[in-house]
Amino acid sequence: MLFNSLIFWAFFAIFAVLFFASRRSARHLVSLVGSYVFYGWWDVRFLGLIIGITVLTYLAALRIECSRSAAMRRAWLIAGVAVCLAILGTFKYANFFIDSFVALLDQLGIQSGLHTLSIILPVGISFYTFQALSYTVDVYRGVIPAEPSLLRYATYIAFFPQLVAGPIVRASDFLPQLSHDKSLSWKRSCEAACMVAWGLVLKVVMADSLAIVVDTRFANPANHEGISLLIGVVFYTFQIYGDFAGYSLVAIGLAHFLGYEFNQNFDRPYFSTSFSDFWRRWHISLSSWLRDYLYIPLGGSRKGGGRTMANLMTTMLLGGLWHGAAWNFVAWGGLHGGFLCFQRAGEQTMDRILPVGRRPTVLRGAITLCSGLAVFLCVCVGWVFFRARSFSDAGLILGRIAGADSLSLSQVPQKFHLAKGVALIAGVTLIEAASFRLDYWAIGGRYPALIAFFLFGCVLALTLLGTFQGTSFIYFQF
Amino acid sequence: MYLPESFRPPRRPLLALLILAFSWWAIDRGIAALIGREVLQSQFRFSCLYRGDCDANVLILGNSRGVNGFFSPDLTAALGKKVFNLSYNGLSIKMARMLFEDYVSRCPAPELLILEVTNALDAGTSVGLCQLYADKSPALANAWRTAEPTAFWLSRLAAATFRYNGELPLRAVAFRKRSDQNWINTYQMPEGMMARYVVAPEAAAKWETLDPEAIAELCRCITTARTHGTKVMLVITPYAAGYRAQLPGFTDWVQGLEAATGEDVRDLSEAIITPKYFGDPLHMNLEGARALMPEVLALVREEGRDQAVASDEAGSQTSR
Repeated sequence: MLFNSLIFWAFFAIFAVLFFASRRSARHLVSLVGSYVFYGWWDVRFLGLIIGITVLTYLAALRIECSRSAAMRRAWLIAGVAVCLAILGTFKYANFFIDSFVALLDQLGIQSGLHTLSIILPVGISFYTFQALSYTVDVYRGVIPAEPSLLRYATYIAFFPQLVAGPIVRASDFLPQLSHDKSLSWKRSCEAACMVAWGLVLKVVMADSLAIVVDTRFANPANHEGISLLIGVVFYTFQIYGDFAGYSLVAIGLAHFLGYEFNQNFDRPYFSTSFSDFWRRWHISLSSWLRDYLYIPLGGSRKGGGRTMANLMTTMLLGGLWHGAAWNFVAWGGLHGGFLCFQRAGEQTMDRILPVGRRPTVLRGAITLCSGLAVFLCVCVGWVFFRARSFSDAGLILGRIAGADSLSLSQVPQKFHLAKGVALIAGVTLIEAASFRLDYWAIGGRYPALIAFFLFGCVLALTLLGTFQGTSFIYFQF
Repeated sequence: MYLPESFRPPRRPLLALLILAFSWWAIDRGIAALIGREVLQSQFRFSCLYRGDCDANVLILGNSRGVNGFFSPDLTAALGKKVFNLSYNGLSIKMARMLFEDYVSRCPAPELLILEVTNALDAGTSVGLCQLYADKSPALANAWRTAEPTAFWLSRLAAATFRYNGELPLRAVAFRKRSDQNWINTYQMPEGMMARYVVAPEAAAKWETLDPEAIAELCRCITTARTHGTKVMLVITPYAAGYRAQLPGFTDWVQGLEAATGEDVRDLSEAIITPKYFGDPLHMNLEGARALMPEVLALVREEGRDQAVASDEAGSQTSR
């Protein structure tokens, strides 16, 4: 069930009625059953996996809390983490490792006879295993107590708004909210409607419209000239943003309607002025998860410059691998790791030459502008590896773009979709840029009629400009 | 965190929701009516058709290769007869058949129907075209309802503006005041593009077999034309040099089409192959359409002579 499908909204309407009509004590059960129906709709076989991870990590966390010796606590931590990584490794990475090993042996002239396994990648596995992992570690660290109720814990793992494509919600944020009163609220409903409407505009209007241009270029890059491929890359930069930020916003809005607060997952990332700023604004739930459970445990920035760079690269390489079982995702992660290391080295050098406090305002402004543009361009380059079918395609695309000797649009196909895409990108960018100056929520609070106009505008945008080709969400494949 | 705490709910929430729903209904219907009026009054080719404002002597139907293979303003001037190009990107033979049937029910039947038959590779539904003119054509409305029943009923009940979703309404508004008959590629294929061009396997595979549904639609179109006294000419416009070589099933497909329809296919696929006459390997440009014109005129005039001869023979048999 996709958020941009009618069957989902029929499901949500029924779920919402049951949720608010049921007694407070029954709401967790309603949430859990509804979430399992949602997840089982993709493939009922997936339910066994999520139930398995839920039960095993629930038990591991309880044993961590009950164990008296540090060794036993550590052992149960390792068991809980191993369960999550084993399941993720098997279902997501087994064939990747087999293929890579066979390719390596081929290079050495050895015939292995190994074959890939017939494994279906369960939707959302990367998200809920990370949630289960973080819960287990947080219990070990004493951040939160182990949840005694299996029902509550299962609801946290399976909660459908964020189950299949995030945001990755921490147990410390979600579990306490299960005890809060959840009554239907006009204010919360308005807020949720605005978030869901804008999220659908980002996805159905912008992302899916841009996909028409992007797909033709990345499907056969050899058949396109440099300028056409450049347009494809820039459009993909906004497509993936609209797709993922849109999904996150809908998920956050739906949870908000039901009385749960999720943290913001995207904060205008293409206005970033540095690579670290980008990772504070892009997929915030994942980047903070990697910071707290990988980068900091590795030592973070506490062990000197060289070790910091190594920790950054390790974190970003594994972050890339999380996105997909393919070397181009690892390359994408490695690129961003490289960008972060370069930025760190550059900032240290600049600070030695001209400390921040002594830089003229004009220079500070120029550095901010230039670095913002540089970050955007580098991020675009990174997306080529993310989207391309293979390394050779990525190389071909970047080579053609670099070697383009004409910026003429006359040869570029799909001009209508190009014009529509540019207009949509410009519109969304302007609205987001204005949000640095205007507090849209405050304006809506002062003039409630504007909320109605905003909602009507979003629905009109959906009906007139939306692309309804039944396209999935990009992050579902992770 | 979001709306300020001062935000107060309405005193009567249900009434407020009803007012919102009614407001949406009114705005949606109003905007749909405005757009619909602009679309129908447009000089866009399909708007001309559904306004009953075509009156062509020669009608051309096809997909994007029909759009770019024939330049109707020049053909009109050369023939001294009105040539109207009703081709559109992605138009399958099924859509072409429906459009032709709608044409002859609204406008005088043309003398000649030219079909660019590469649109007979499939019999898909152009949903955008169907939903835009669904209120003018029961056939298109039915095709839309069959292809996308949910969208069809949703647009009827909840969002009339949805009918104006897509590329076609925007083109109709763009051609509000001027004819779109001169809409054709004007750019040239870049040097070396054909050398690098690889036909996608799924595209080449379509030439391996005849689609029975597409052939049935083509036969039905031909029968309708004959019923209305319209001569039919099946044509394949040129491909750039080297493209046809990547379609091993091409010749057999053409022969199969001829056998299935009983009509000759005028295979001009290699009549012009110079890259400068193409915008891309599949589509000609204005220069190419002009270069192809003598061949097209010769074929049209030959059809006219054949028709005159056939009429004379029929007339002399009657007089005996």
